[in-house]
Amino acid sequence: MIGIRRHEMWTLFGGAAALVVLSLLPLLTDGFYLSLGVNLVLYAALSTAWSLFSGPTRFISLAGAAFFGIGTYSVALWLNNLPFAALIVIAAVCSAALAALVGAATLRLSGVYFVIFTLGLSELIRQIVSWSQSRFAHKMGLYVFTDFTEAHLYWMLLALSGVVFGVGWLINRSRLGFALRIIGDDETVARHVGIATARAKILLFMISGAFTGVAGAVVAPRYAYIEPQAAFNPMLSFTVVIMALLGGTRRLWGPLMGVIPFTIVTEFITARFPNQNSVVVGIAFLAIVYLLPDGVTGRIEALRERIRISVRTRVDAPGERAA
Amino acid sequence: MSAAILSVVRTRKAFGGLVAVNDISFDVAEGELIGLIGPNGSGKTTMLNLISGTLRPTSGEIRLAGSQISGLAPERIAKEGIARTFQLVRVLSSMTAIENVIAGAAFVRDPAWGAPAHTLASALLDRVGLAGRENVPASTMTYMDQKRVELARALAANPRLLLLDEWLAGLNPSELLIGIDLIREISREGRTIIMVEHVMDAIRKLCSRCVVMSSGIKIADGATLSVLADPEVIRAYLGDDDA
Repeated sequence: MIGIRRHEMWTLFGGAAALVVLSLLPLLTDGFYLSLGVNLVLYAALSTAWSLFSGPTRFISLAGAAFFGIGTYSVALWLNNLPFAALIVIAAVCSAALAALVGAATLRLSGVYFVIFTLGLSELIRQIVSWSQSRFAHKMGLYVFTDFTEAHLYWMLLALSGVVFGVGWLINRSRLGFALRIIGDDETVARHVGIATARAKILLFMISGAFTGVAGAVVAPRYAYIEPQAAFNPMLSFTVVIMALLGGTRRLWGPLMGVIPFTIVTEFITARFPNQNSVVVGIAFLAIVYLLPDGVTGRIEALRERIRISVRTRVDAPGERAA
Repeated sequence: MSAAILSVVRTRKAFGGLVAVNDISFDVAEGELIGLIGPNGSGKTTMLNLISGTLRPTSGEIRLAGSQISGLAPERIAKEGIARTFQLVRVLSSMTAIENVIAGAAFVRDPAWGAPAHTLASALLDRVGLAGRENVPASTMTYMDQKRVELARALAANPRLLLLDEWLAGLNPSELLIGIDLIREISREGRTIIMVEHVMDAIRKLCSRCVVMSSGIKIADGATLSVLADPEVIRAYLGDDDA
């Protein structure tokens, strides 16, 4: 588990090659397809970051909008004073700090309370930001004017997705990742083999939250005008969860299998039926829970297992006949 | 007898009005294998839960090698060197046998990880009779084999004190003999063990000393054969008429 094995070398090589190929997209197109590409890499980063924490622990977090909004506001507030790179660091630190607070307060509770708390938290922060803006700044939003083009945003988000995947891969091979799998299986056993379960969960929630915050910071220039309703939009939290569950959270690449079809279908629906968007998202959510409880990857693995078994019985069959 | 590795001092656990463990005191010497017995509902498992930190005592003190462990979280107590198995077997169902055992070794005071952990876990699976079964998913194993995995996981921590909560329960007669031999061998290696057990045959064969509980109170503590002949112990198990 310490050294890099051969198949892991191929995974790393394949991942790097995929990043290089994907980074060529802005050279080929700069219209609708680039915009779709930005959405794809944005949601790839968000959903994968979400399932870093929620996959192994099975705690459903709806705090995505809170972290995303904090990242967006980190850029909007200090864009004229600090370099963009510093703003990204601020976004990561602030989101991680919020995650640590939320985690310390709620991760000892059972799953249901955690879900409600995280949803309520996002709304609370949105209301606080709205209130303080109208109270102290006497305006509803902030302007974010940068020289970044859509292509720049695409490259930054692609790099972020790459980092999220890299960190996720490292966590999976680390003792922290192993600890979280044990916690997901049986928290009582986890504690009795010496795992400080609360600390492990908080640490991973911080990592996940920091990535979500950075995604919000990077994508902020796309909005040009930032207001709380958009930056802390609860739909974002739900969309990220639906995509991750559609893909399946048991593998690192699982959420990606949900992000790709969902983003493309959503783009299509938004273009055709702009007013029925939330209805469609709701129906999609129900359909996923009923039809694909383990997500696309769970279905793929079940199929693979069935093929393996049928191949094996076919091989065994002649022997049985001989006997 | 060498110095006590575990001292339970006037430990009490009350759930509201119900006193499950009532001011119990006993010592366990290094290398000892003691039986903690008593009728159903006498507080044996509660006692194990107090030692392993699943529950905090209402009052009293538990010390491991002189330092207080009562009141610590279970993960801290595990790091101090107490490992346990569970009354209802708890394997990590999404993992293979060897991963289950590595889980026992990876988070204790002197953790093993990577290749050394694999070697250790593989040797322990061999030790409990599961050689060559390293990559079998734990959830597909038989009850007996899951118990073996759980025992190997507890041993992987290299604990100063091993707690077995009805580890022999639910085994068929031939499995029981194998189980008894296994516990005896582990004890002979110098491991200190407390076993909660209902299988009296095993208690007689394995434990030189027994602590008997009834309704939360310690009613006897001494050499197994004399304790089992004690009229009060017989009364606790069988009722007044048979004493």
